[in-house]
Amino acid sequence: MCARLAARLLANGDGVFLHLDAKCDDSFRATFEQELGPASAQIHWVDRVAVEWGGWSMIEATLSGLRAIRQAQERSRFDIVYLLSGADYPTRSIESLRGFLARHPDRDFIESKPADSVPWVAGGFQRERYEYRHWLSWRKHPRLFSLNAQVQKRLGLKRRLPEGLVPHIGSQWWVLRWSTCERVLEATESNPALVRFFRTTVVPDELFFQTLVASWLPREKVEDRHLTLYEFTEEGVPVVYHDGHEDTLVKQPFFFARKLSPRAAGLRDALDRNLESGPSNPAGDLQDARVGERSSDYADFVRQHRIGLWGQRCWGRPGISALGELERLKAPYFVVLGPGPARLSPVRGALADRDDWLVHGELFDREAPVALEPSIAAATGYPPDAHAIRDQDRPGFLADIIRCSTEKARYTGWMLRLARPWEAPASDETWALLRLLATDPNCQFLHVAPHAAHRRLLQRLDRECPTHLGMQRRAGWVRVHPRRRQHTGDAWFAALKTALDERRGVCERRFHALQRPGPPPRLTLHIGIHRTGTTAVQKALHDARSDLAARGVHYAFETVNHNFVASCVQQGERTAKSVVQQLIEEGLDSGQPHVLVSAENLAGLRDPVALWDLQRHFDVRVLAYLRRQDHWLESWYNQAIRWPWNAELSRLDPDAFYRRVRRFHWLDYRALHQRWSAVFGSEKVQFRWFENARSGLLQDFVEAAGLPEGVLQPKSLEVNASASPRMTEALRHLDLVSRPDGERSRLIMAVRSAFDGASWPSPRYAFSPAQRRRLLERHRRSNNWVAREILDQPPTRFQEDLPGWDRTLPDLSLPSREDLLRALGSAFLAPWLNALPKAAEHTELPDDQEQRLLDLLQEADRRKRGGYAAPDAGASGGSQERKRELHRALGVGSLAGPERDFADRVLSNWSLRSDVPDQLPPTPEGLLAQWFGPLSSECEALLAIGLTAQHVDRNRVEDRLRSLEQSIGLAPVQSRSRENTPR
Amino acid sequence: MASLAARLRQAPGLLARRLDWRVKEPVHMLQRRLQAWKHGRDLRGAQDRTDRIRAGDVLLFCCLRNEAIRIPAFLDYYRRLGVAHFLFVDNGSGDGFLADMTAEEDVSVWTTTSSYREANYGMHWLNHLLARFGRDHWCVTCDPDEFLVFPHCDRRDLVELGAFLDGERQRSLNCLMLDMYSAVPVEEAGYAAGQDPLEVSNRFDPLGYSQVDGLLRDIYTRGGVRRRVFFHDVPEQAPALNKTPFVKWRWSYSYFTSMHQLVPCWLNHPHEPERNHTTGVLLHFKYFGLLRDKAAEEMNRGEHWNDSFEYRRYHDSLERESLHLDHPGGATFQGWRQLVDLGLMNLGRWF
Repeated sequence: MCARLAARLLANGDGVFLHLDAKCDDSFRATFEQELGPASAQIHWVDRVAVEWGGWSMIEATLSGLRAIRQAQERSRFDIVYLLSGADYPTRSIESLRGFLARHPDRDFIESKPADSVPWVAGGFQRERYEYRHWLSWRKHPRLFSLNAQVQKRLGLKRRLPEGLVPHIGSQWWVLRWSTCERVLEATESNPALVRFFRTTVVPDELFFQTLVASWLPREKVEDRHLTLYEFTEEGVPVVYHDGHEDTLVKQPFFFARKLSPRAAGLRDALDRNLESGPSNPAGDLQDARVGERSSDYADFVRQHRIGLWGQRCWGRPGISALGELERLKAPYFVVLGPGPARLSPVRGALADRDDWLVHGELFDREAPVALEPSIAAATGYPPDAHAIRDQDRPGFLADIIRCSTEKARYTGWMLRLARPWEAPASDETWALLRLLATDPNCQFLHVAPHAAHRRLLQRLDRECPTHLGMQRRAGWVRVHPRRRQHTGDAWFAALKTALDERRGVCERRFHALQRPGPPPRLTLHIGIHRTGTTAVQKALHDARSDLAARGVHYAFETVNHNFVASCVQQGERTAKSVVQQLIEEGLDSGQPHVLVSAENLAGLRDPVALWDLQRHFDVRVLAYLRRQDHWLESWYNQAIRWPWNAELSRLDPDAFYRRVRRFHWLDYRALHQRWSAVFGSEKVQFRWFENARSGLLQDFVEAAGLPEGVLQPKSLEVNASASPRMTEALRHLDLVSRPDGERSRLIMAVRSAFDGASWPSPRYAFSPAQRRRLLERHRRSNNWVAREILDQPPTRFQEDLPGWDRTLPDLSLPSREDLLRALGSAFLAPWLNALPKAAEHTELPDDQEQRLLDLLQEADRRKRGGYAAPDAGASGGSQERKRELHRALGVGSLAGPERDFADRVLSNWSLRSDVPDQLPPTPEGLLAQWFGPLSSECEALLAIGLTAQHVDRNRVEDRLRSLEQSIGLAPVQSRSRENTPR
Repeated sequence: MASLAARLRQAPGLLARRLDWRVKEPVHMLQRRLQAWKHGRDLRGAQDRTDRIRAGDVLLFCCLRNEAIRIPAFLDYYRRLGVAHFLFVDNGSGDGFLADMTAEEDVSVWTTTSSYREANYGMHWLNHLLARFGRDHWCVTCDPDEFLVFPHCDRRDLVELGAFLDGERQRSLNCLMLDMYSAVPVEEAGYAAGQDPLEVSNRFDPLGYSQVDGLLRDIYTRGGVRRRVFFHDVPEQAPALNKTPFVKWRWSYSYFTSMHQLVPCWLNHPHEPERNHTTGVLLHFKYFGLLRDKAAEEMNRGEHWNDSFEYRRYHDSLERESLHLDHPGGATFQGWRQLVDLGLMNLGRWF
């Protein structure tokens, strides 16, 4: 094939200087000359060098060619030297090249990028190519090669280029004027230092000529573009062109292409034909300015085929999550869920009659035939008795069915029978399938069930399948009442259709986003760390969601924060891959140029490499705020008590908490930075100093994340403010971890107002100075590094106002029990009383039913706790006494109206409890844990009755009562309450 | 008690199955090398033209028995794809295969009459030859009824594919095996020597394949016509359809079970998480008129996998009624592009 290239060049009267590798055996030359025929006499054979890839010998071979040209200059005159390889071939006529060069006289065409600023080498080993000395071949001794580079890097043995040369890098294949070549040749002969230097660089063929030419000649004489088309794969190997590539080669504005497969005779024929075809030759309309611009054909091809075709199956990729093949499916479908054929078949009938709807029967019954639509059964080859094949790979089976069905109809779905799904055992196959489908974003459910049943199912799914929250809950279920279907008319049908259209829209938007050219959208990951105002920032972002969207920023998902991203991965609920996939889709879906994700739990990821895939689709930036470790720990202890996520940590005193400090591994800020920059690159990771930003955190965040100015409204940062250490100590004894969110916040409110009212003094820190100092000492080196390298501040930034080595623990003891009873008692009921009117609004049930519901719920609560004295036994003397005492402390006497009722009822319930001691507990801790703890539960239980009634459908309250009665299983309670309540 | 004893007996095997491939890999590699060396001694050179092999040639290794009728088309197809030398192991054919081959310049043949089953269904013999002749060559290893299809195979050949995979730092091409059948019943699909098998059976199942992660990092694939017709009641017993027939050989490599699995295990894994590599398809022409005789013979010999369970199934089906494999959902083979569009084959980055 070399002969063919040579023949083409000779035919135009050009001189051809040919270097044959010294390793090549002599038969090659014989074959070459035989192929070329008599014209071979015109070839100038160059002195041979044994060429080694990426070694100096490449340059030696080129220089040997230049020497041969110098000798030949005596006989004929050559003006331009075009360096080609045997695998190149002209894509345009030599005349058009001549014309182009004539239009650009006095120019050298050599790709030359400044090597220390422009990244040109894929994989990043660029400056190292010349900064260190390389004596070994990378191909032959890869390990020794990198060891050598590593050692020099460690020792800091960087070197400078000789003679003030500026390193430039670019393609090996250049077009130079003879005068330039001559100058290079002379320099190599007269300046051994130059040769010595480049002899120990890696791939000097991409460095030597580029550096010399760009350093010697004025910028306007050197054209930084290449006239030979080349492209590299991600592995750093040239892309090879084959038969059939003529179109993409010809349409690109280059004169030669490399490299062509040696066996691609057809491609060479086609290129020849194209040149001969004359007027239609596109070389005619070549725009000089565009020469050297590659088309994106190859890049587009690679992107399209990166993980298989869109929506199509892909052999060799079993799904990464339990969704299996369904993961690759990009078409919506629906599942009709109902308790039996009586409920399902009317729906199926109603849907099957419509055009464009294709509805299968029950596909997953254990015994009954697989009820596929006959046309689909034929097309997929799944017979009615395909139970075994179906169960072998359920997602695969479903994906086949749905792919086939969506070709025939726009909307497709099937029936799933499951009676009382909220009660199905976890091992039930159908329940497992339902759980799986609930995580599929393409699955739309239609639930044929009454409201109560529907709610119970959703509750169970939310509980057992957290992914469901992110997927289905967002898009919503469609519910149809089994008996009232005829009354609701087509409303359910319209809802189903809209939901399916929406899901299809999402799929299509996603597809277009993947196809969209241009720079990738920016993704800012706000990774905390905890206790640096993250909640305030997240709230502000969440509130400004629509403003942000209007200005090109998408605050991801619809939740206030995105900690589920980290939690899902850490808790093993889902694989990192599937979470990342969800993130990618969410980001691309929005179509916005900037996507924002804020999850402080991400800082806790030990290995963020799971998020690496994000880079394929986004320009990822990582943003974190830092806080001095002792301040952070103080705040974190507070959080562990006030907002407990871990039962163990929430009960520890500061000293014990400090002993567990090592588990907060993100406190080593240097390691944190290295972890994240290893994945996303250090220039993408931004750390900021929380204490600096504290006053204007939101403004600082806007600046750091690159948000549009003024989009976040300045608000109070006290969304999640810390409590004082002494108050924290009080809260610690109230066992907040076992209380629901509402009760916890009311309880904290009560304690806070008691402490504020009494204005008890509190030490500033919960930890001793020695503990705080020790923590800082442990992180001193890391902190200094971060301050110097990242925050660009003096290392003393972390050392200002250092605590001493005093080991005495701060005095956190609580006030005396009498003081506590007085202060807490007077403030205790207020939060519940404030919430009462809101709860009462919803308790407009008929009197008898309300009373019954009340009694039943109380009874249920007692049974659950098992800690009550028998209600009929009458209150003992002791309990009366404690009731009186608390009555005084709470100031019930001064209350009136419903508030008085509430307080009375709470007190009487409280006094019935057997787990409350009769005497005032001897310690303040005991008072909190044994008296106020249960009191809070009672307040909440009573309030909950009001709040629960809010959700009870008044018409369905009978149902609810009956089920409650059953769950308690007590006939006497029922009859007694009936007797007691007036009708 | 009996069942307990049986379970105890099976326990080591089950435990070994559960072991991670990282543990098993070195054991398997050593074991297969030793077995190849042991069983390689059974081979007798009948026609040795291996001196014609040049560096960079693509070689083809194949083990056969009474398949002479398929060979002309087979040689023709692979020569066109750029195979430079064929290395056959003849396991006691009685149909004059050796005599046919004397005229072929690019064919070497070894013969043996030892047990096919004991030689791990021929794999020990092939591993022996591969280690001897295949080192640093791209090697095709397949049965005489398997025809390799890869992206662009109409305009590019195996040498170019090998060069591309070298550039990708891949040393193997993973394939899905596609069972081909005819539009007419099996008995009526007659095949004459030298005929292009695609003329006789050009239909295949475009869907109905299930894939899971295999034990040695392979993609354990089952499905197609075999699962649909012969194993629809016991789909978990359906034969594996993933093969790795194109490998740049090293002395330390071995085929483990048929061509389905190789050691070291990374050769079995087609794709990386974030991007696809190129894969191919093996067209498998088994369901001809030839099947009836083959099934009868192999069933009685019991030399095939699982005591020729598969052949017994074929035999039963053929005995019962006319065996019609076609169905309305089948597709007619139109070329490699069709397989890419169906997702059965991947282009990877082969531009």
